[in-house]
Amino acid sequence: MSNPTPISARHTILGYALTWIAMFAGLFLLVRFSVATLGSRSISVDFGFLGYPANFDIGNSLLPFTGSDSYGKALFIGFLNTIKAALACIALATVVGTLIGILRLSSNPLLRGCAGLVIEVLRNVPPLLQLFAWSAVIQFSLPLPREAWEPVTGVVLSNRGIWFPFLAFTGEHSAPSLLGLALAAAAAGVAAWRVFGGRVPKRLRHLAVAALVAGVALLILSGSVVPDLPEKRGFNFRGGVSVTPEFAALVVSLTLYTSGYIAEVVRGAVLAVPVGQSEAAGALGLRYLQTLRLVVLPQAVRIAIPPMTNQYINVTKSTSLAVAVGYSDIVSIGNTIMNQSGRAIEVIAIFVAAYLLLNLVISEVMNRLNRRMSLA
Amino acid sequence: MNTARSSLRHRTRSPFFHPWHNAAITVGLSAFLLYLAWHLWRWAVSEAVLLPGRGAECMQAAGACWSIVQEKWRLILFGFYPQAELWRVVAVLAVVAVAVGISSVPRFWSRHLLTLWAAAIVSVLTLLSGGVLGLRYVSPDQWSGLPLTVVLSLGAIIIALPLGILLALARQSEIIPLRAAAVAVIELIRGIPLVTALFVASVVLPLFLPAEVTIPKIIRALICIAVFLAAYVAEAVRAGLQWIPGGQKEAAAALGLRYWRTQQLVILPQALRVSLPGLINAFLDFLQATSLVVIIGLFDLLGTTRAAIADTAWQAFYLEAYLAVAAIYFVLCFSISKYSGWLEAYLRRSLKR
Repeated sequence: MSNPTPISARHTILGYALTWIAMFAGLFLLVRFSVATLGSRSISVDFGFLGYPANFDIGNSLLPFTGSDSYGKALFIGFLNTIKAALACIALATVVGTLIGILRLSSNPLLRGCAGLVIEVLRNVPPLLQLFAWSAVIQFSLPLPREAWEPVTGVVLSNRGIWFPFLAFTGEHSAPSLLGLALAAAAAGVAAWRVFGGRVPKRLRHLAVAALVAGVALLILSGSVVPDLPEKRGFNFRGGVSVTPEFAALVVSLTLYTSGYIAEVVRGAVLAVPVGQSEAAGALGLRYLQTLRLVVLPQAVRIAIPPMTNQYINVTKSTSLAVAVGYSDIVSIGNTIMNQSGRAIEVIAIFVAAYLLLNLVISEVMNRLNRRMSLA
Repeated sequence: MNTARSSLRHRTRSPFFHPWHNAAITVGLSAFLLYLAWHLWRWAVSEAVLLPGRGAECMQAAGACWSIVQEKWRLILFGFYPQAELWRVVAVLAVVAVAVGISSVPRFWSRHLLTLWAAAIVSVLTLLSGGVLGLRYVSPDQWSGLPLTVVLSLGAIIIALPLGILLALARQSEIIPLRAAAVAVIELIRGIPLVTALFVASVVLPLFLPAEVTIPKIIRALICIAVFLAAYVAEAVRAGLQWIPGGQKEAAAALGLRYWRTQQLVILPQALRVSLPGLINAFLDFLQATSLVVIIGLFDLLGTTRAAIADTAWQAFYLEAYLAVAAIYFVLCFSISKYSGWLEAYLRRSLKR
């Protein structure tokens, strides 16, 4: 803001008064009008309905849920499902997008061109179309569970869901397994300390990684944790972890769409590091990968964090496309509740609050990361 | 001498084969691409039912069935618009194409463009809805397919531009309550998904309207998308406003220009030029996002495609239909994004002078 000259100062005082009056008048009229129209339809805004029983089931719930549970709990489960989908998309899109972005920077023109083509296709086809296409592919092109496709041992693909191997606790404990558990817990503690802003010396960091490896090895060797492979039981599979077809379609399509954007962010960030930096590293005798790891990437990450934050927020908002394929995120559960109870205004207010909360959390986490990465 | 020659040779070596790992990548990738191309060729051409073909052949064919495009292109492109009046939607698309084409050439940028667009909007609305000049009335509920996608995305940007410019000016204003209100509106809208706005359009908006007023769902969706887009327009315009040096405003004040004259004659003409690529990118995002209207039961290009493959006889050939529509979206979006990139470079050159 520049220093106000006398003319603009006079304007400002008048402007202030007029703006306050206009804003209050506008708000007053809006409220009067809404109250009048809503009142004439005998609609009230009341969040009491959140306690009513939902009378529907949720196919994809992280918590036990039955029809007699409340609307409020249903929305909370939807919120958890939104977070689950968002986290999966963010993690996968970061990996896939970075990979494509690096390929886009290859010195081989053919590889570079292919990566560019992939990026353009992913970015220029609407995400909802990609979602419908993947959803249809999973539904119609994957086999029934009866003749499920197992490309790698433990990974089972079928049109009823996708199963991955996981670890399971047997519940039996012995001295080595308890020691392993303690080591893993200590490593997790160090990691948590670092995440919440503590400083961890390099030696302790290495020690923590070693403790984690040793702990997991002890747990597996002592037989307290066993690999849990999906197995065919009757018409379906048991064991391992499974994702539903809707979740798989949502995550695959949003991951690919966002990867196109993240690849461009990564490419832009790497190109934004001055060439002199890698030339200087070369002059110091660093190899190509050393230059990349020690000189280029640390600077590129700093440049990439703000646009990456935008992409993470975008993909989190995009998980709301779930409503189109029936994955029970907060929007599709809210949609069901709107249709059942007619409480549209309240449900939309809850949507707004939920997404604003998620945005704030993502921005805060990325800001912390940014501060940690910054040179100061 | 020797080193100079070797470095020259180094520079003219083909990057496809030097250094050695690039040769490996080229060979491996070429093999993979050939394999992919061969399979694609088999699926899409050699074992497919090509045009013109009959749907009955598709059951035997191992490859793609392009007959679905031949059979359903009318439904996919024009939706449920009355068959006898199809020339009108074709004319709409032509008018839009001409208006967009003329507006995209910087040489034609002048006040006359406003007249051109006013004429384009009037003729598009007249052609689409009819009811005047002896044209049969077609209710907005029947607007669908590509014309709906075009009307929603272009209509949204046309409404959102003035709104977004006002929001951006409010955000830069020296009047603090106005600035706070603008920031609140912009950040609120940018923080929530578009689906929420569409639910507002389809479910909440009717509650706030008096009982005797009914607005077609398409118009309600258009309004909500436009308000949503306005927040993104405001951010793009703000980038342009911030680019303007403070001296411009002071010079205008020294010439005795009041606030609105300053904005109109000095600030906005420069700021809008700078923010054009950002505006086009926002428009591009919303061109893709208009497909979300499928969720509230409207039939844009994606919606009519879904309608086409909902026909059980053609259900098995969903991939062909989706690919055809993806190609339409790709051509539209890719050319717009290339244009945006070209414009950015062009503006940078012209602003340097």
